[in-house]
Formats: sequence, structure tokens, C-alpha cells
Amino acid sequence: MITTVTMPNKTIAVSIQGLNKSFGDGENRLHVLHDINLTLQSGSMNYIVGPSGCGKTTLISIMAGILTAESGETTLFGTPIHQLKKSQKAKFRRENIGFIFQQFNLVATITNAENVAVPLLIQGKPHGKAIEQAKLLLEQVGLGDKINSFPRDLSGGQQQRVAIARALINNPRLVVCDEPTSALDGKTGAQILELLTVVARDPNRCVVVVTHDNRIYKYADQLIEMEDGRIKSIQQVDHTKPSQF
Amino acid sequence: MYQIALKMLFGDKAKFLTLVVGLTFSVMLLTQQGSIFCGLMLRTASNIFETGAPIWVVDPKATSFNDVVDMKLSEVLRVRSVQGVKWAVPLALHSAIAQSDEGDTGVAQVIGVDDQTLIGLPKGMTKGRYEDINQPGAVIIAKGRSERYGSPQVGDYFELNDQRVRVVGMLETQKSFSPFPIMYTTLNKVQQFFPEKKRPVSFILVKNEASISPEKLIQKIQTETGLHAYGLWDFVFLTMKFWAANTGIPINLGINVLMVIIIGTVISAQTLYAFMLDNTRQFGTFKAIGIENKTLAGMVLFQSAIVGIIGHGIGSGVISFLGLINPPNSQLAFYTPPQLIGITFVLVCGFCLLAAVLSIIKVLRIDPAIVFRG
Repeated sequence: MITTVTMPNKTIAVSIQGLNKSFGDGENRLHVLHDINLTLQSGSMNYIVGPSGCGKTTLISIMAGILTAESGETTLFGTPIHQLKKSQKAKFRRENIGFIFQQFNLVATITNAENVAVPLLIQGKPHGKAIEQAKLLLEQVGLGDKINSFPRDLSGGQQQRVAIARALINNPRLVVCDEPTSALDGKTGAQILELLTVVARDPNRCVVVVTHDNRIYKYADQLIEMEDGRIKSIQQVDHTKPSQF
Repeated sequence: MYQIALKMLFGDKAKFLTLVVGLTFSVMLLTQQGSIFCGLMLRTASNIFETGAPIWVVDPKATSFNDVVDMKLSEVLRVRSVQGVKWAVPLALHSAIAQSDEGDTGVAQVIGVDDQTLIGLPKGMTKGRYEDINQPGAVIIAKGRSERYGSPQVGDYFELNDQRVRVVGMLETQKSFSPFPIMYTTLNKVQQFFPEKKRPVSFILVKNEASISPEKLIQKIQTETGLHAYGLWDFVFLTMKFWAANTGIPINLGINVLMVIIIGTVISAQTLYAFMLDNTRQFGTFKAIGIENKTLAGMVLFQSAIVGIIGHGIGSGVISFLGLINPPNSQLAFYTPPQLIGITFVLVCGFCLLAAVLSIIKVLRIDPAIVFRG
């Protein structure tokens, strides 16, 4: 659920140590992540930024447990997911992680409420109950009148709101967003980020956003800049000062 | 998730129709070929059905209705002596040369029935009277099989094995696989038309007493007379087997059926596989969210099963309807038994299972990381 909570005592949500990842073999081998060390706290909005091909998406894929690193450790809320088997990772994802994608990835042929309910249905929750919960969440993201519509009936911003509702329905502790605003205009993108900022204020939750959209940097608590598969800098954003972006 | 799978399937109407149409055509072709095969095979046994006797007794060397070894009349008495036999009557089947007054000549099949009871004479007299068959030189002609002799009418005369015969009735009979005209007469007259035959009886038609089942009586007749006895359907299948083995029908139609199976499998697998490919991103999203592989496989199997059931329902329904509106005695031999619907259903299940397995392999191999690729 989307709630705003002020709670300064933050715990470690994501801990990545010595992470390496490459693709391909032999001469075609491409080393995309080099010795990544990173810690993200719960109740925070973290941006991973950098130019295309710098390894941002690979990093969040490993962080979310859908890619496996060659070496290194990834611990999410105390669970060393690098030690989990594939099926255990899938279970961990459906219970703990919410995903928001650049292209929304909504199923065109089911209603918005059903799209939102998918994570609960995957968990085995009865269809009716899952839909009821999805309807509540859609109302919270301002789409109470679009419950029985289909994604094709919505604007890009509305579709991304449905995707956010879907990402939050199983009350995840980690929300991973891949370029959530790149398919949206500036105003809609800002609205989406404001919504995600509210989501990130939950002290039990950590939001990670991959983006190269510098218009939205001001919403971040922490900016992790990557370059050539390495973390170039980590910058804390002080929201008490005027925005430097 | 199965409800979602169903909506994914029905939601894209164009793709769904492509899937269903592909399977429907496969089922229609399969059922149509099968129905023609069944229709042809049934026609090989049309005389057996028309005679309608529950038990058929033949010489042990006989292999079908059309391949008999004739028996002496005394064999009828031996069969009658078996306890449990309600009645046993002879039936003769012989070929003769028939010639019309106009000079049309050809082979005809002559069936001789028991003089007293006329058992073995088909129902469906359209002209004339049954009892006239006892008149000297009387024959009843099966309508629809005598066109080659100028469609003779009641009262017309024929030469049959050089003996003068007169048409006293016309029968509406089922279409037969055999092209030869059939003339019915009595056994006594058969002996006149074929004086050289010392063994005039081809079959002995038997009815069991109510106190004994046909199966038990068949056993008793075989044990006590040394003759072979068959139930109606066993004799029908024996005859069908004879024609199937000696005409190449199963091979020729079987090749068609095999082609349909191959084409059906390819169409079904290809369309279902293409459907899965189109939904790769959705399945990838489900995988990223954490769906279990068995649930994903179940969704694909479910979608495949739904398409199969709908495709089979429409395909077999259309062909069955065509079978129903096909006139019984039309040139088109067409019969769709429930067993054929069952067989095509099993085949369609096979198509769909194969298509689903191919799709499942593809779906399970989807890298969930694709969801992060724009």
C-alpha cells in the first residue's frame, strides 16, 4: 500500500559486494560489471545513472535476482540471493520485489485490475480477492475509474501508474524501476516520480530507479553514477538544499 | 493464473481465430477422411445389415460375406439341432450372368432366401409384394443397383444363367461397395438357376432362444457343428477386414490421413508457437515477477487444450453435420461414428500437446531479463 511514513532509522536493504558479470565467451567476452560494491538503505530512493551500456540494467537485473553474477555477493534484506537456487529466487522475487518497466509490460488483453492482480495470482491468491485488492490500489494511484478498462485505453502515464500498482500489490520490500519515465513526457514523468517517492518513504522498502533522465534526479536520495561497468560515484542528495539538478 | 491465460488467449481475436481455424481445418480433414473410410467400409457390409440376422454361420474356410465356401443343406439341420437355436435358415449368395431383353448383359449377385420364412429378404419393398417371390421364376431387384440393365420395372423379364426370370418387386436397399446388381429370390429357385451347385447354402442365419445369449450360442454352434459362427458385428468386421486387406483402401486413405496428421501437427504447433512468441514479453514479465515454471507450463498447456477442444468441437461438428445431411444412399460413402470423433480428439490432443511442449520449452527458456530491454 502507498503510505507516507517518516522514520529516520534506516536498515540495509541491499548489499552488493565484489560483483562481477560478463557476457559471451572467448574473444566476444564482454565484461559489463567490475567489482561492484554497493549498499542501499530501506526507506530510500536510489537512482542508478550513467550512459547507455554502462551496466545499469545488468546491475538491477542481478540485484533483483533475475540474472546471476559470476562472482560476488548480493544480499537483499538479509537474504543472500546469490546462494539461492532458481526456484528459490523466483519465490523470493514474487514475495519481495516489485518491478516497473520502461515499456510498462502490461498484458494488453486483460483489464487494468487483472494486470495489477497478476503478482497476487502468481502467489496463488484467489482471483476474486486479488482483483478486489487490485481495485483498491488502482484507486490509490488515481485510476479508480479505469479498473475495468484495458491498458490500450490508457495514456502512457496512466499505464505506468497501473504498472506501479502492479509492482506494489504484493507489498514488496524492493521496488526495481527500469527507466520508468523514458516513455513519458516531462510532466507525466514527474508525476510518476512523485508517486514513487511516496512509495520509497516506506521505511521497510527500498526503491531503485535506473534512469538517464536527469530531469528526475531531484527525486533521488542517493545517486549512483556508473561508467564502463564500474561505480564512478555515489552521491547523497540533500533535499533541504535547493535542487542542484 | 488460468483465468489470465484464458483471457490472453481470447483477448487477441485475430491470433485466437488463426489458432482455432488451423485446428478446425485439421480436424475437418481428419474427420472427413475417416468418415469416408468408415462409409466405404460400412458399404462392404451393407448386405449383412439388411439381412439383419443376429448370428451368421459359415464354413470354417469362409473369410467374409463376399468370400464364402458353400455348404450342403444338411448343415442347416445340424445347426437347428443345437440347443438354444430359435430358428436357423439358409441363405445363398451366387453370381450369375444376367441379360435383359434389350441385350444388356452383366454379372449379377443372386441371393436366395429361405422359401418358407423369407428371412434374409431386406425390408423396404417399394414396388410389388413379398409373397410374389414364391411365383415361378420370380426375382426381386434391389433398386439403385440395376441401372446397367435399363432400370427394369416390375413385370419385366430377364435371362438369368439362361433361364427366364420375371421381376416381381423392387427393394430400396443400402448402397453396397460391390458394384454388381443384386437380385433376391428363394433358395429353391437358386437351385434351379444353379443346378450344378451341390452345396447351395452360403450362410446359415440363426436366432438364439431368449434363454441363451448370442455369444454362448455361437460357442455351442462352433463346438457342436465344427462350423464357424459370428455375431452380426463380428461378421461385419470380418467382411470389412476382407475388403480392407484386398482393396488397398486403408493404405490409400491412410496416406491421406497421415498427411493430414502431419499438416495438422505443423499448423497447430506453428500457430501455437507463434502465439507464444508474440507473448514472449508478457511471459518474461511473469517470470521476472516470480511465476513458477510449472504454473507457466500449465498456462501454456491450458491455452493449448482450450484451442484444441474448440477446434475439435467445430471441426468434428461441421463434418458430423455434413454426414447427417448426406442422403443415406448417395454416391458419397460417408459415415462418422462416435469412435471416429474420439480418435480425432485423441489426435488433436496429440497435436496440441506437441505444440504446447514446443511452446513450453520456448517459454521456459525465456530470459526474464528481457523485460529490462526496451
